[in-house]
Order: sequence, then C-alpha cells, then structure tokens
Amino acid sequence: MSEGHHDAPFLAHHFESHEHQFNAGKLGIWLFLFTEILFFSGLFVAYAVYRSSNPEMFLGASKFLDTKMGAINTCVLLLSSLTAAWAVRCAQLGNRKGLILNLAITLACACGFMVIKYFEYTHKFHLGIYPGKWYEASPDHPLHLQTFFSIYYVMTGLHGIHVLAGMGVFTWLLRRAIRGDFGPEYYGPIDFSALYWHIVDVIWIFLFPLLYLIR
Amino acid sequence: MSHDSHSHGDHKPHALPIPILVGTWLALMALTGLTVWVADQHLGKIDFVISMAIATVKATLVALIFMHLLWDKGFHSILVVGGVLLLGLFMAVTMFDREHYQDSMDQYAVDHQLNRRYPVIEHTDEGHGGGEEHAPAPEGEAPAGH
Amino acid sequence: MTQVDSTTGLSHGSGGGHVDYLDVKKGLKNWLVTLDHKRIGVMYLIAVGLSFTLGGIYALGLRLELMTPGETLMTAATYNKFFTLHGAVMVFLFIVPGIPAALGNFMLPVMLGAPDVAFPRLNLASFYLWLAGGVFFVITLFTGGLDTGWTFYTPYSVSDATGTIYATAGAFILGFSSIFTGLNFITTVHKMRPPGMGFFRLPLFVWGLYATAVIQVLATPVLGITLLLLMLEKFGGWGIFDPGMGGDPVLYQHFFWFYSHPAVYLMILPAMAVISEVISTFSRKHIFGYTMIAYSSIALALFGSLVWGHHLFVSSQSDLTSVIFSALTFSVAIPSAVKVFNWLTTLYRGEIRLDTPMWYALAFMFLFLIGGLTGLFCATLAVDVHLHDTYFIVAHFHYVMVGSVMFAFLAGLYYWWPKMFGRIAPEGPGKLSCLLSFVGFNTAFFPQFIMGSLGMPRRYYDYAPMYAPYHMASTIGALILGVGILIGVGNLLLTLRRKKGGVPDNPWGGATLEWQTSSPPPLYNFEREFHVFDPYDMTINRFDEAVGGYVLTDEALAASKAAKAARKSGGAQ
Repeated sequence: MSEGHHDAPFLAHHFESHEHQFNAGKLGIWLFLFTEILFFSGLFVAYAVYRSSNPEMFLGASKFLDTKMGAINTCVLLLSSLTAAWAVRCAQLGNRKGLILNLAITLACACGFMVIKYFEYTHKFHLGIYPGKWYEASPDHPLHLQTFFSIYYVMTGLHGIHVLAGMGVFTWLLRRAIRGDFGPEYYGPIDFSALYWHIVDVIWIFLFPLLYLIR
Repeated sequence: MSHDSHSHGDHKPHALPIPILVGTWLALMALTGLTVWVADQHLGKIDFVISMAIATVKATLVALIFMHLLWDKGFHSILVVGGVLLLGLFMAVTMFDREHYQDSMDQYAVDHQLNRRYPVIEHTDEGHGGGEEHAPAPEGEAPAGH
Repeated sequence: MTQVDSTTGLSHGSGGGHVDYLDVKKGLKNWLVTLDHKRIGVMYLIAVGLSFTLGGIYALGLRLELMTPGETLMTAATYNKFFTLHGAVMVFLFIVPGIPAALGNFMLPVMLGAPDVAFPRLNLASFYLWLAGGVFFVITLFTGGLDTGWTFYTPYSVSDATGTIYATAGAFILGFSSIFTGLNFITTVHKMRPPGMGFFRLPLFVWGLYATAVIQVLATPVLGITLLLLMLEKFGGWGIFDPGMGGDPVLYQHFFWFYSHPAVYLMILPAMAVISEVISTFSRKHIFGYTMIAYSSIALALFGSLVWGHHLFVSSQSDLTSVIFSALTFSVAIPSAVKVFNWLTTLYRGEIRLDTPMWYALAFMFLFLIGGLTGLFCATLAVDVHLHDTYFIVAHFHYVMVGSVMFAFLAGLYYWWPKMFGRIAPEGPGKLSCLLSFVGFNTAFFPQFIMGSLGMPRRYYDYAPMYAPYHMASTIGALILGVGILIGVGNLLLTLRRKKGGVPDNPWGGATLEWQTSSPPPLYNFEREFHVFDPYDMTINRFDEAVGGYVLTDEALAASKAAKAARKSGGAQ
C-alpha cells in the first residue's frame, strides 16, 4: 500500500487523491438523490390517484390551506437554496467568512421554514384537522376533509423530516466550517449537503402548487 | 496499489459566479409570484397544467444551475432524468390502470353505503375566490435576513 | 482434488510477515467497529446464515404440517404465521442481502484490486441497519407473530391483530440497508477500478452486482414509501389504501410490486453472476459471450423493473395493462436465456473439473431452467388466471429463489471459502450435500407443479385428500433437502476448526483478481503488485505442483508489465 500521499487529514486511505474522493462522493450523493426522487414518487402517485378520483374534495379541502404561508415558505426555501449554492462557491474559493455566513443563513432559513410549518400545523389542529384517525369532524368541514389532509400530512411531514435532517447536516457543517476544515482542496461535504438541500427545495417547489394552489 | 498512471493534476473547482447565482434566485422568486398570480386568475382546468409547468421550470433551474448539472458529468443528469422518467412511468401505468377499475371502486362504495362521492361543486361563486386574499409575490420577504 | 492435503503450498509469497484480515486486530469489539469490507462481509454471512436457519425451521414446520390433511402439527392460525414468517424472513433477511451483501461485500473490492468499497462507513452503517431491521423481525416473533403473508396486502394487513407494524418497520429499515449497499457498490464499480480495467474487463460477478445495485437504488425507495404509508395506515388510520375513505387498496399492490418484482431480479442476478464465475473457472475456458452476459444483466435489471403488473392479473387490473405487462414479462426470458445458452456453450469442449462448486453450479443450471421456463406459463394471461395463487406459483418461485439462488449461494461459498477463510472444505461431503439437496429439492417442489395445476391453492392449511400423495412427497423431499443443506453448511463450518493456512492463492485456477492475493487476503487486500488481465483468460495461469495451486505464467507477467509500462509512458506524455 502506498500510504505516502495520505498525509492530508480528510483524505480516506482508500482514495488516491482529493479529486478521486470528491468524484466518488459526488456520484454517491447523486445516486442518493435518485433514490430520494423515487422515494417521493410513491407519494406523488398516491396524490395523483386521490386527486383524479376526488377532484371536488381536493378543491374544497385546499381552501383550508393558507396560500400566503405556503408562498412565504417557498421563498424561504428558495433563499436557503441560494445561500447553499453560494456556500459551495465560498468553499471552492477558500472564503471562510462567506462560507460561515452562507451556511448560517441556510440554517436560519431552514429553521424559519419549520417555524412557519409549525404554525400551519397547529392552526389545522386547532380546527380539529388532525391526521388520520385523530381527525375530528366538524360541520364547517367539507365531507371527508381528512382524505385530503392524510396526503397533505404525509407529503409535508416527510418533507419536513428532510428539512430537519438538513438542519442537522448544516449545523454539523457550520461547526466544521468555523473550525476551518474546508477549502478549495476539500469541500465535498459542503457540495454534497447543498445538493441534498436543493432536492429538498425541488420537492417543495412541486408540493406548493399541488397542495396550496388548487383552484 | 500504485495508480501512477492516473496521476491527477490540481483539482480546479468550478465556482459559480455571483450574478448567475443571484439571477437564478430572482428568476425563481419571480416564477413563484407568477404561479400564485396565475392560480387566482380562475383559468379552470388548464390552471393545473400551468402551475405544473412553472414548477417544472423552477425545478429545472435549480437542478441545472444551483445543482451544477449544466457543468457536471453527464451521468449525473442521466440519473436525474432516469429518476423522473421512472416516476412518470410509475404514475402513468397506475393512473391508466386506475381509470379502468374506478367503476368497481364506486360500486364498493355503493355496496357498503359509503358516502364517498362528493356533491359536485359547480364552478360558481362558491367554488372560487372564497377564503384567501390575493397573495402578492413576497419577493425578498424571507424572514431570515441576508 | 489432491492439493487439499498438500502442505507445501506456503511458498507463494504470503509467508514471512504476512498478516491476513482475520488476524489484524482480533476481538469482538474490533470486529463490530471494523470498516474493512471483508469483515463486514463475514458478519453479513453469519447474520444471513442465522436468518436462513430461522426461515428454514419455519419451512420444515410448514412442510410437516402439510404432510397429512387436517391438523398434523399446529393450528391453522399458527400455520398462517409460519408461512408468513418463512416468506418474510427468507426474502428480506436472507435472499435479498445474501449474495450481494455477504459474498459481494467481500469480493467486490478484491475483484477490482481496490483496498475497500467507496464508502466504508456507509457499508458498516448498512450492516447495522440490517441488524436493526432484523431485530424488528425478532420483535415480531414475540408480539403475536405475523400472518399477512410476506406481501402485507391491504386491507387485511391493516385490520389484523398481529405484529404487522413491527414487521413493516423492519422491512422499511432493511430497505435502507439495501439502498445504501447498492449505492456503495455502484460508486465502487465506477470509481474504484484499477487502471487497465475498463467496464468490459470487469468480472461478470461484478457486472451482476452492478445490475443488482441498480435495482436496489431504483426499486427499494418505493418499497420504503409503501411500507411507510402502510404503517401510517395501520397506526394512524390514514386511509390511503382504505376504499372507505377514498383510498385504493389496489394502489398498494402497484406500490408493493413496483419494488418487489424487481426484487426478484435483485435476488437472481447475483446468483447468476456467481455461476458465470464458477462455470468459466471449472471449464478452464474463456466464458462464452462475455459481452452478452454483461448486457443481459443490465437488461434483466431494466426489464425486471417494468413487469410488476403481472402480479395483478387477477387484481382488477385492466385488460390492456395486463396484456402489456404480459408481453413485457415474456421479454424477460430473452436475457435469461442468453445467460443459460452462454453458460452451456462455455461448458462445450471445456476441460471440465467437477469440484463441489461446479456440482452446485450445474445443479443451478438445471433448476433455473425449470424455474425460468415455468415463469413463462405464469406470464401467459389466460393460464395465469388458472394458476394464480396455486402451488404452481409456489413451485415456480421456489425453483428460482431456492433452487437457483440458494444453490448459487452454496456454489459461491464453496468457490470462495478458501479465499475467505484460508481453508478448503473436503470434497466428499460437499458433493454428497449437493446431491442430496438436488434430489430433495426436486422431490419437494416438482410435485407442487402438479398439484398446483390441479388446483391446490397456496397458503392453505388443509386440503382435499386427492392432494395428499403430492404433499407427502413434498414433505419427504423437504426433509432430504434440509439434511443436504445441513451437510453442506456443516462441512464448511467444520473446516473452521482446522488450522488456517496451507491454501494456495489460486486453488481453482480462476483468472479474476481475487486469486492473485493471498488466501485469506491482507487488510487492504493486496500486499503485492497485481496484474490486470482479461478476467476469463485461462491461459494466464499454469498449475504449479510446488505451490499446489495455479500461478501466473511468465508470459502473462511479461505482457502485464509491458502494458503497465505503455500506460505509464502514455500517461506521462
């Protein structure tokens, strides 16, 4: 084993160079994103089946969602996507301050998204619209409102779990960035996490019109 | 292992220029505004197609620029396109099939006296315009400041 | 096989300070936190072995119950749990991870001349996810069992009172284990190949694992979301699959088979890949139609992902969809046949050596032929309406999943055992076990074709007296099969009591890279320089009496050195 070139702190022993390691990681994360698309595909298919068989119910139930909240959340996520991409740029150029700032904004946006989501959820709960069997019917509700909200809670819930996971990842990255781990040689984790974050954003880009903009 | 023949030069990362980053983001924000605005124009059935088209454009922008696919290895794009095609296939077959057994589903509801079909809401005042105000595109209004 | 007892074979460069991966850092703790793909492979091997034992006990219980009509051994409710757990344990815990995670994990990097897989930590994480999933299945056993069948069909699985939620949670976690393994393997094949090994110089085992990994990342996520929805349905009354709430139970079947049919190819592809290696090595002949076998693996992976609807022929699927799926299903026969023809042609005029791995490989070919061809009956729409949910189906998929996958697994174990553990198993018991398993298997499952076509439904606890002789034969066969497997596995395990070593690097004369390192390999797989050749060029090796195994010929070494020099000067320019 030629271990000679393996004095770099973040180069795993079984890779020849940083570039080799980066390329492997990049392929790995893209494959992971591929599985993410298919993971959500089931929900999109379920959504399509539901909506095609109950178009009126979707129309009525969607009115219980606040378009403004959804739109703001879309913008929050878009901003975080921008800063995530910008963070990659900073890491590539060795701009540590910019990297930290961008990561912090991304993290803050993720938190903001979850806070808004929290208010949306609690508002629904307040109306008795709990998920699944905990749903409390009310005369104000259209018939079988919970059918729409079943799919709503699964889709946004699963998306929310992805956001939470992203928050964990960005906290970790922020710590490492402050420690000064990253630079033009080694910025794989930033790049891969940003890619993950963008796919979370892309999924929301579809969820927003599918759930909030039914007219 | 000796992979001398593979000796790599210095890795030169491709950093995205700031105007491209910010420009893309502005386009995404504008499209978000557009899709909200279109939704309130009462366009009927085509509304769904438009909003999906806008979402697709937005997703493509994110994928090509933020996710770097435009400058990346072709294989990664193949993965994305492949994933989307599979999703399409999955959805197409299931939906196609679903149409054919809708009748038996409805019969089940009748047999079990399930009030599953909803009273059809005519596209009158009740069906539109209720509830929400026209939501302006909140450009740059993100709560977490810059 | 005379070189087994040869103790002269240590002169092949692995003497002196050689420390193999088994000796590097001993102790349970070092094994549990290891990042070495070989140790992870061995841990998988132990784990899937235990699962196989569990599933096998259920299988024997089932067969003993069915020996005579009426209650023989257990109540009907227990029987339902037995067949469910037999299926679920065998599918999720043994067949799916069996060859790729155990043998594949061990062999893939070695065959690529790489020190490890691309993501060693992820690899260990996959193993622990597998364990966690397995634990959930064990919890299922102690919380009332499971009686839904391994397919968890709604609405029954939502309303029954058994531990469905634990089992689905287990399968959900196992799915992620599978996804991460697949992701890891694809990246490894793409990024960890040595210079001089293009895609079309990969060993066919690697091609098979690659195709398997494609299915793992392509289909398993859908299983994940399906099971997640099922858990929500069961736990929270979500209603997605409940027609009473506007949901759709057939949707569940689409979802489930979108994964689970590709999963069948996920099971058979690595098995086929093992056979490609074994057949070529023991025929001392270049594999016939290398490119076609490689492409057929990918074709199987892709076609296999487009045929899920053939499980829904009688589930109110529309006629047109059924016709399309039926046609697509027939097309799967083409790449399968390509493989079988190529194996047969490889045998033709080869210098066939009938060692134990080859016995298993030949048994595989016979059983796979039956399993594959009866698949065409099931793909035929009109016939399937008759055969659906009968013992014909049971026999068909056991010929493929047991007859083929398990025999290939044993072929691979016998083939690579010397490399993995530095010990060669005795031939006598190995061949006896193959013979017994083969006879037992056919006695157990061939009668099921007959009774299935006569109308015996699957998953039934009781049956009409007309089926009694078939069931009796089937049970006797299952017992013989059990004894056969026991002898085969016991024979391997008993070698572990012997002292390690004395095994030549290349006892069988294989031309792939794993035979160029010591048996067992050192921590990072290669201590000496290795040489990349065509993986099926049998002329690169010659038998060396002194070593007791095969060594590279001088011409081959010279050719490899020349090629390396050429690459070097080409790269420097």
